[in-house]
Amino acid sequence: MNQRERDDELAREVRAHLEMEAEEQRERGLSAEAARLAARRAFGSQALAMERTREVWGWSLGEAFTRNLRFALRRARRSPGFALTVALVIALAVGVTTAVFAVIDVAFLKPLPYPEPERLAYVSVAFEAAGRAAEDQVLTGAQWEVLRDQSSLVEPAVYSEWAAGVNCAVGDRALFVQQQRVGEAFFRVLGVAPAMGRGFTKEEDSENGPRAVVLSDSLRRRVFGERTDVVGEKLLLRGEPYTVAGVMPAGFRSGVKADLWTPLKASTRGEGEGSNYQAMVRLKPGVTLPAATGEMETISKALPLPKAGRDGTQWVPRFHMQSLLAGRTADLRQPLLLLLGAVGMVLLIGAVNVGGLLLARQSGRAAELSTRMALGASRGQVFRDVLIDSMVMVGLGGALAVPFAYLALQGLRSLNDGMFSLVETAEIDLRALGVGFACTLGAGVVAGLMPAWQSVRMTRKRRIVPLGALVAGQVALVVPLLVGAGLLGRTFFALWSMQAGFDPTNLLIARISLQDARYDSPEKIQRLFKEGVARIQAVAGVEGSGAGLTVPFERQLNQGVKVGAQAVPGERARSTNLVYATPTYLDVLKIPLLRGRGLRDRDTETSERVVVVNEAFVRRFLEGRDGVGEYVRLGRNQPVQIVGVVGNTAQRNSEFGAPLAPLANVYVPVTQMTNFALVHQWFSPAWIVRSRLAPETLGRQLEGTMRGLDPLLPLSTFTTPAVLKSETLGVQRMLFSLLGVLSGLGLLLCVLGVYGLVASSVAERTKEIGIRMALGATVPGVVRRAMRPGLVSALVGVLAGVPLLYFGRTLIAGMIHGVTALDPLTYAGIAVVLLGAVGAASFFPALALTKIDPAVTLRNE
Amino acid sequence: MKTPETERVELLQGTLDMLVLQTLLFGPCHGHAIAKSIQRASDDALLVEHGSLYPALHRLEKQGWLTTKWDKAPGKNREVKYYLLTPAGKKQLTAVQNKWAQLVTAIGKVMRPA
Repeated sequence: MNQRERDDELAREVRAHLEMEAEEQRERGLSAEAARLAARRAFGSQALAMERTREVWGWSLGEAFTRNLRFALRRARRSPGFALTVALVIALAVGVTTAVFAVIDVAFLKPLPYPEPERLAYVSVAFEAAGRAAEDQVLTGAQWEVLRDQSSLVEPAVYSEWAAGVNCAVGDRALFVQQQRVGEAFFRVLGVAPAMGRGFTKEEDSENGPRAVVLSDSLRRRVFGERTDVVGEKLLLRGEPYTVAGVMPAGFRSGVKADLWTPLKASTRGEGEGSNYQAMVRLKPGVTLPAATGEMETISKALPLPKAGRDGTQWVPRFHMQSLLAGRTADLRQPLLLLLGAVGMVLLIGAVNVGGLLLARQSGRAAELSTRMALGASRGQVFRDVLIDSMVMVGLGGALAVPFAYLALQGLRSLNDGMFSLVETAEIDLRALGVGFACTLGAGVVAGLMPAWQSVRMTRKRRIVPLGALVAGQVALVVPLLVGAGLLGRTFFALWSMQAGFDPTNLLIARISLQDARYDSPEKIQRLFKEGVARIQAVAGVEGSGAGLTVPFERQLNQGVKVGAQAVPGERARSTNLVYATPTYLDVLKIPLLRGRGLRDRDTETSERVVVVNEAFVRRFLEGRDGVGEYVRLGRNQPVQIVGVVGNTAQRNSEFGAPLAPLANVYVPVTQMTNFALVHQWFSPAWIVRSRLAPETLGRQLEGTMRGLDPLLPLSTFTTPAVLKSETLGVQRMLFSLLGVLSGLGLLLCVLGVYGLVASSVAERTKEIGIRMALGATVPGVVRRAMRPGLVSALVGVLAGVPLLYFGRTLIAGMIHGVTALDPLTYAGIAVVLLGAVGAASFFPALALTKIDPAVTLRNE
Repeated sequence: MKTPETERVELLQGTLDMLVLQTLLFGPCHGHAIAKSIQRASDDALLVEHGSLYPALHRLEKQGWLTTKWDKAPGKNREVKYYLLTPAGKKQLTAVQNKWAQLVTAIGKVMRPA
């Protein structure tokens, strides 16, 4: 029998009793009304009797829960402001934690969406020498061939992780699509068969093989609509005819954003000379991971040894296997761990903050609770009620956290801005919601236990956990957050404000893909640049134009360089950046000429081979000599003479923590460039236009001009140096923004905590302070005294937070640049911010004391 | 015969349960009748606030000493809830009766020393 049925039955029973009694009284001659009253009198309090009877049966767990919940909600409604504050703090903290977990889940935890993902491994080459280890590298062509030919326990596949934007034409439609190049085994190793047609054949994946392409389902829909008979269709990719071999199933992800795939045609020459190939393997059926690892060790012996390093170190290469997921997300690991640490801190601060709020409110409920205990409520009941009260408010916050989590993930995605395609796949699913729920529960217990415990220790006047300790705890947790945000902020601004080395204002950049069969000779390419620059120059409002392989702020082409006109035995190539440029390139960018001359029209295919280098090149390779007139050799080419030295520009660096640097650079006249086919596979050259026209107007005119030049050569979307810079600094911006927001949130909570601490101590001591003032204490003295608990706990918190910094160090190492982890300016700035915030939070509630009238206090005594 | 208000005595704590069990020894009874029966048996000396009977009845039911059933009241067109003594209830009655007897003897010795 449940509570409701029992209640109904009891009511019936009591009603029958009263009626029988009334009947009896009527039989004795009382009027109907008087009889009813007499019956009631004899019965006593109906409500009391029924309540006592109900108590006999007690409450089932569920009933007790819903009853307590109802009461708790009612109490929460009585102080909506307070309940809302608690709920909001929890909602924010749990919301961001849930969103960050969703990203971490796809990055590290969720299995990849392929069959038997645990049998997939990512293979890189690790280098070791005398107990030291260098960073892993992706494979060269020769290394890939060792893996391909010598492994027997795994099926290997090679691919390029770098998708490139290319021109694609189907019929009369031109599209700019993302192309990824993959080896013949790629789809098979992932375990995903094309939904239509087939993958690549070995023949297609070899040099001069038939040109085949596999489409993504979304591209098929974009191009062919609902048609399913697309296998065998022809399309033009970079101007070359390709045949559609297959279409991947909808939702297939290759790990990078790609619209279509073409064979990689891995080779030991060209790009295969460098580390440009990613590799993965699938364990063959029945093969265990240790067996496969063992085989990797064995075949590593066949890897060619690299040349000894400058200091004579002989690095020994070996294959390094890790899970495919870990290999794909290696770059994300550190930033995400940092982020996880930061949200963990915020969650903890939030829980402690709410605990403090609830504890402070507890003193206001002391009278109510002691009355209840005096009336016979057991300690257990009071404890439970107070805990449930807290849990209900925290739980409310947990429910509110769900929309917050969606918003936070949205924010993360927009900050990510396509940098990591993986982040795009993160979603608030049941797993993330489960983690959010667990966080809420944890926060509720942390926050709710203190006031509950306090409530049953009513006899003790002192708080079991002093509010000051809670405030100190929050401050301690916020210190590493602030330091992290400060260091990342300094890093970001140092990079952001790095001298560009050129004039980035009023510049517009448009790309063209020249990986096009129609531009297969240097002459054709050179003519295109010459005519293009001349035509753009002629557009009204254009101040200057030029073209080059890349522009500053971007990743540049890497080139081996040797100094001197003659080969020297034992010399080794070092690495510089290289840009081929039209004669106007340096002028339009306004890169200052320091010595010698710039590039000229008279530098032609037939004239003497020349280059212009930058200051960093001179410093790095020429030991600071003047440079002009010296000779260098680029790759295996003939010596070229340095005719001029220009200023440095900020260029994209491969270093994760410092993606911008004034790197050594060589400017080669486009007329003297030879290996276009190779570089155009990686880079789409840029037209650079300087003009005060509005970008939209200019863009339309440029498109018209270029169509006149070659209607089949579409320009990509236009960009500006500012956009390039912000893309290059995307990771830094993302990390700084995230840590900034999180530490701001933490600081806000701390300020609330300090404010609450001082306000409650002022409220509790109004009388005492009034007497002090009557005895001659001055207002400033009293205010100073009242502020003290806030300042003292903040100070204790800061001291307690310093050891936490030590643990945070490893998380942030490698992500800061231009500052040291002990940067004095950062610490001074944080000290000022923290002191200011804590001071203000202590001062304003203490100011309430100035309104105390000693006379009133004394009269009340 | 009605006892004047002043001579009524308050029930001792815990004795109501015993009185209820004793009353039910003579057969099933509903709440109202139990209250009346206790009053009558004590010549109206014992004051039972009818309302206080129900917590006791339900407590005894929960202990398993009573069972209940809804039935027509004789001569009335109404269902009432009858309480019946269980075998366990009978055993309990014997136990509390013994205890009560010991208590009365003991208190008697104190109050009226021989």
